[in-house]
Amino acid sequence: MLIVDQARMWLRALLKRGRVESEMEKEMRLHLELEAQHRIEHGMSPREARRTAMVAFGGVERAKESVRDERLTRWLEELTSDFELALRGFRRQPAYTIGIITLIALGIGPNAAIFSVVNHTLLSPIPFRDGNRMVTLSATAGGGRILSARTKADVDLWRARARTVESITLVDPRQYTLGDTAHGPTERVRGVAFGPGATTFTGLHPLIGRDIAPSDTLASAQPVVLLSYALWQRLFGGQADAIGKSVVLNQLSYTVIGVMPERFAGPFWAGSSQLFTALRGVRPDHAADAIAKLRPGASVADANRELAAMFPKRDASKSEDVPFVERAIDRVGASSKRTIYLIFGAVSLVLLIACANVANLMVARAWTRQREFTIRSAMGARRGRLMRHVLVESVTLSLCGGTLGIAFAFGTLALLNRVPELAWQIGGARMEPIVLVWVFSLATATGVLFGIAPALFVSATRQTDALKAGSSSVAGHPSSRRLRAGLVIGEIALSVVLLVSSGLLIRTISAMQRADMGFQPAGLYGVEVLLRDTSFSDSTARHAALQLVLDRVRAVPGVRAATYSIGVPPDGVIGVGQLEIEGASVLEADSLATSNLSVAWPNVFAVLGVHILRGRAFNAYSDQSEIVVNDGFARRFFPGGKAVGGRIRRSGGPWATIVGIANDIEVPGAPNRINATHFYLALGAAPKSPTLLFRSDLPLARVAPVVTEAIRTANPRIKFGRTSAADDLVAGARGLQRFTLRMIGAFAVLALILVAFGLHATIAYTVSQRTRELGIRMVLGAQSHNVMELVLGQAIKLTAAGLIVGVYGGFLAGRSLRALLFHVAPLDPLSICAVGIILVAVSLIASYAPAQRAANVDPAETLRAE
Amino acid sequence: MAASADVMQGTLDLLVLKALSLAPLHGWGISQRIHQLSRDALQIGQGSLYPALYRLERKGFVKSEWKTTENNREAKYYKLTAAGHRALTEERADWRRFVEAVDLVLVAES
Repeated sequence: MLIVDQARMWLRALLKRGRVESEMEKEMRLHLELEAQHRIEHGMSPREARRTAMVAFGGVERAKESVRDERLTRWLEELTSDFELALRGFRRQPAYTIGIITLIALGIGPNAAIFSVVNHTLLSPIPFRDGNRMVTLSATAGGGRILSARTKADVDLWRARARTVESITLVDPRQYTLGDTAHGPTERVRGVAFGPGATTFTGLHPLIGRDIAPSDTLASAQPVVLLSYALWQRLFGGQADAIGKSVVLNQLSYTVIGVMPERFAGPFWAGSSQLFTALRGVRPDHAADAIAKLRPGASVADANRELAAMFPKRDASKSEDVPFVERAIDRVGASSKRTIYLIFGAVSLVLLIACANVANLMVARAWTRQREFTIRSAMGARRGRLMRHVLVESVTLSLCGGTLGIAFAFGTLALLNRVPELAWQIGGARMEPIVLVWVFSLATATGVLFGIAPALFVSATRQTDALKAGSSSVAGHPSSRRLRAGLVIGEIALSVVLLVSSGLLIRTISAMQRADMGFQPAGLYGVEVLLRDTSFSDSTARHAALQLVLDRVRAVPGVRAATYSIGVPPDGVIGVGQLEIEGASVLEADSLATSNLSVAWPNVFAVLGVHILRGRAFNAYSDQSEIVVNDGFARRFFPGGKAVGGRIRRSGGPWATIVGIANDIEVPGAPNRINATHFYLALGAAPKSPTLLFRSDLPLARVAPVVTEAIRTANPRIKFGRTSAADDLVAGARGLQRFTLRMIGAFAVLALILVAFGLHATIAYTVSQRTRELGIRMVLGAQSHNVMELVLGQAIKLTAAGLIVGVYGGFLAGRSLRALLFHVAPLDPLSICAVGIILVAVSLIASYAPAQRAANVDPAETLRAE
Repeated sequence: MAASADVMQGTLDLLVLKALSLAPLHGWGISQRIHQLSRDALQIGQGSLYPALYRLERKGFVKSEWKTTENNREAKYYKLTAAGHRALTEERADWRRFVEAVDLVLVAES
């Protein structure tokens, strides 16, 4: 018979159960009648015939049961009755039921929230058409250590010749200052500049307004901008008349031409961008990133072979730029990937702890229900049926918990989305349908997982034992006790992992705060000064204007010193390559070294708080023939210690002499620098957008308006950016650690609450089981405090065991956190001690009430009650 | 009645298939037919007949339909399918081999 026919029969038996049953009834009745009639024909009396026919048939009900067994629908019918039985049980014990559902929801809710972040940032990071085929073009230089952008000329060549890729588009991620500094506050936003075709690349079109047209990319074109959905909502309240209005970006007026749909603002390959501008008037040597799509059937390897053929190495001995493509998916969130996995790991530990709690409660309950099960099995219930009953109960509970967990997940996600620093990492993570699938698979899996322990326990107990035990109050079955102790120890160990991880991060952050950074960030502020006006086209004019501003700012009350540089440390360094060191023919594999560069006004070191270790700083007569290098530079390129007086130049440029060595600036957690080498170039021609650095004891909010007012009065044509504090930038460098600590710390607290709950439940249960024993002890002379010590001692023993197991887990967790740690070893005694103290305190608090209850046991009462 | 109702399950299926190979029958008819064919030696316990019929139907060896008997009663008639015929041939051969084998053992013992 075909499977289909079998399935049809099975479905008929299931769905038309009444009809199938009545047919069976009819068939058997007919059988009996025919048999009786047959017997009458052979000379029996009608009554005798009916009786013997029944006997010969051998039990109608039994026959029916056997037929039902053959139908194979029995398990489903029993499942329904198990379910009804379970619901009835829950109604009888509402506190237990609500407790378990809440526990599961606490485990699953945050897990679902973090899973939606994982899904959003890692699993489906490019929710666009052909997202999987999207590749980005990069190049390596300096021996493969540096990722660099390609020039437009290269990209044009690639576009003209490429066979393996299509839709090659230039994209240039940029930072914009949004708003006019002269009128009100401004903010930094991420944006991307691209040419026409970048939006169609994603298969998404502007929600309102128009797309970027080829004419917008001409050098002479009016600047235009497409807004992200979120920015449109924020700036224009989602009004359609935003089109045609203007916004000020980097002190230039841009016309809003359209709004992109919400999805477009998601994690684009350049991070979550707020606005999209036209890439205007790009010169062939302009460096920008490029994105493309692999043609169907082409692989990344194919595209790279093609690139290698297109841009052959001119000289095999030198490590030139090697262009290559990689899947955009691999680049998305590469830096935060690890952190997000760590956090997902942390939240999964919370789920495990919640599960251990639930299993613990269920085993305890299974024990108290021993008699019920024994009676049912004595009445003929099969062992498998009882096990299934327990499983149905736990799965039902966990599905309810999962449903409540979704509510928790919505809450958690809303909270996460409200933390501004997290917006970039998780920007716009939502509860997608896949998250719901995740929640319910998780709920079912946990239901089965923690249902198995009590189920096995129920089935393993012998009936006679249970009946005997049921009437007395011995302290539970030894195997049950061991199982429950194991669960509590396990959950304590898991919480140790989370607590130790939090401890390591707290220690890291405080070490970062205490670290000697090589400069004084406290009270150091910077503001970008923009000389865009045509009257500043001449360097001398700029120099004069900048000097005037400097004099005015120095005169501002509260400002102690001021100077110019590029950017505020740790920001504002420029990577340069192709350095030549005089006299050093071969430095590494090639003679082209790379370093960071910053341009400095003479007194920059004094204002920054950087010390000159050897030689001298710049003076008023310094020009670009003088440079100051940092210690790292000196040690790397002048290992003989003769840096001062040495000469370097950028490939083909004029030689510059090293006049001094400054100490290294090292901000822990700051983005990976190319290497630790750095040099300062004395100011040459006056720059068009230097950063005015000044020192003040006043807070940013008080000093910034006064200083910008001084700039404005010095020369109204000077525009300026936002004033930032070095302290904030330094703190920002610890952002990843702070983000991770915030998440793991929150989960550690949740874990601690769950552990306290689990310990309390276990101790309280043991006390209630041991009432009689405690009564006897007291009759024999034990004092209340002895009993209390006994109970608290049990809690401490469990905690100590959990700690010992957990410390190893904490060490493993510390190792996976290593990339985030600073001046803290993965096995940090201080963190472990602190965690131990916290856990012992929590366990004492959690078991105090049951211990008190045990101490107040009235021996006469308990013994009489038995 | 020398017969026992404890016919082995596989044997029961074979007997039912054989009984149905001649003509479609209802449940009681099947047990009557087996009774007759065995010259009153075998009496099928109804407690095992109906589960066997359901099992055979599920396997696709028999098909059932409601028809009226010669006495104008509604009865469920079972009919052998093509697959049922094949199964009967196979199982009959198996049975022969089994009986011969058992015989050999018994002869050797005596």
